[in-house]
Amino acid sequence: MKVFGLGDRRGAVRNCVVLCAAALLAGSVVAADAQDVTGIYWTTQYNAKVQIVVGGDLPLTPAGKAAYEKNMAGLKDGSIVDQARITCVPDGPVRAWATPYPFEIVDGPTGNMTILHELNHQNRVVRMGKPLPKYEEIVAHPSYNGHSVGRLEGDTLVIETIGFNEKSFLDATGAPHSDELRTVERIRRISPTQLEIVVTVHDPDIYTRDWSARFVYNLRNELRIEPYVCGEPHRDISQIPGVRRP
Amino acid sequence: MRACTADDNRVAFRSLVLSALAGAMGVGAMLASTTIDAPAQGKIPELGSSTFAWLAAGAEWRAPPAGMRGPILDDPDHPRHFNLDGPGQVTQRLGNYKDPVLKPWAAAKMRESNEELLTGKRDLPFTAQSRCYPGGVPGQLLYPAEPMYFIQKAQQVWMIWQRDQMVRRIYLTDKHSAKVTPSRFGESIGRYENGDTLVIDTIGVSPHLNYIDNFRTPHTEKLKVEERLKVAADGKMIEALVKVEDPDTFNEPLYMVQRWRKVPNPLYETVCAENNVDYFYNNLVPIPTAAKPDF
Repeated sequence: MKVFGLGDRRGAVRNCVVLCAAALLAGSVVAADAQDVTGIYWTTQYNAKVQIVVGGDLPLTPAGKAAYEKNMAGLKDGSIVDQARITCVPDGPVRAWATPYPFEIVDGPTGNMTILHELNHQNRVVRMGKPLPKYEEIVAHPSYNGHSVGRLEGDTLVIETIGFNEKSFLDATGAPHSDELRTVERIRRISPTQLEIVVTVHDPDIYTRDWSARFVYNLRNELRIEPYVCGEPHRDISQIPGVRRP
Repeated sequence: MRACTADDNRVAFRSLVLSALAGAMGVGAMLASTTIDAPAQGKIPELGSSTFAWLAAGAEWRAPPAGMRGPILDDPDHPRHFNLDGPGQVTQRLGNYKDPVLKPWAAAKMRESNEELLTGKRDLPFTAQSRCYPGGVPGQLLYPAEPMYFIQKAQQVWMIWQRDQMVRRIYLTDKHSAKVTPSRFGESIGRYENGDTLVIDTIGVSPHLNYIDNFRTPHTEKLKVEERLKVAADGKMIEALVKVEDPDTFNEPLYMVQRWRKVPNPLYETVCAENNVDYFYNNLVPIPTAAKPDF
């Protein structure tokens, strides 16, 4: 795995198009007063297939197309097990944000932001104000959630993550990624009661250009995050648009 | 894969001895630190940090102060031979089901669990965290191999175990909810005392595959647990005095102690379900698995 900056291999212009589109979309709503992003949130919509901000299909490379087709076929015929749903391993990048279960963002412990999901009791540590580690420091320890560092840009929490393993899908349909994946997540309140997360994906082995997905959640601080044990009864999520119980 | 050589075995044995010595020194240091003085008033204990964590001293409850009824111990008919007990076959944890503190149903359950091991029906006993289940309250406190972390905010404390990313939430309030639905960690409310102690009161712990110790000592939904986590004056250790009450399981309250030492470990991702297979046909309790996707 090599670590690249956004656009190192694919052209800054296309990155700019994606990021500008995401920014324009985000800017189409009235910006909230200065408020932090901590709290408990619950999605307004569930989509099994990741929705790209500018619309259209995933911009797959030939290798990405082959991987996606293999994943979709395997998930359909059972030769590939969706471990995130069967043994409840972490959902990993992008897909974790599509959760129909609540999650919470905690400002702590000092120096970190911590993201705690109800689904699969996943948690992520975001080391604030730290540089991304060097390739040599993370290559031996790829993980579902990678290594995240964060910073505040005004009201927006910006998280950069590298060091993912290749065991997760970017969505429930099997959208692939490699261990060269690098994500930038921009998290902010778009109203006093709503949170927006825009994730930009950079994975030049799998995608011909960077692309972004946007997720919106309602602030639900009255909820308590519940324990989640695979195969046991869980919170009722039937009211989330897009959720289909198999 | 290459075959194991005599040199490999020597290296492995040397590592094992060094690890055992290091472990024994660590435990010894913790045992020696029996006096914990309270820090100055007006503070709360510093439990949470991004630069340190807490590593448990072991997977067994320690004895409480003199005069208190202690934890369930080994079955005296089957004394345990532990890893650090020298040469010999290591044996499994067989709890003393004959302990008079146990109600008959609880004694019968423990005896049944012991029989599973003694008859070879099951080669390794159930321990929640090794089988990817939350360890319950207070059982989760006995997870020894990976650190525990805290986040402290004004209204809530989070206890996070690196192992399988387990999270307990303690709400800093003085009243339990009017209706508590039993769950793996129940409902925990807490408060700080004396500037050095976090006191946690827990009810509503589901009894399903939840035990108060690693002897598979069961409980009912009437379980009530008080944990008093006190940070040592030098800030390098936590000692928890745990009181367990369950009138349907125990004839009197049990008191138990656990300790953790401060370690400079950042929180890493540990995923229990990965490659957690019964490779040696030990008839392990299966890990939590969904028959079909949740959504």
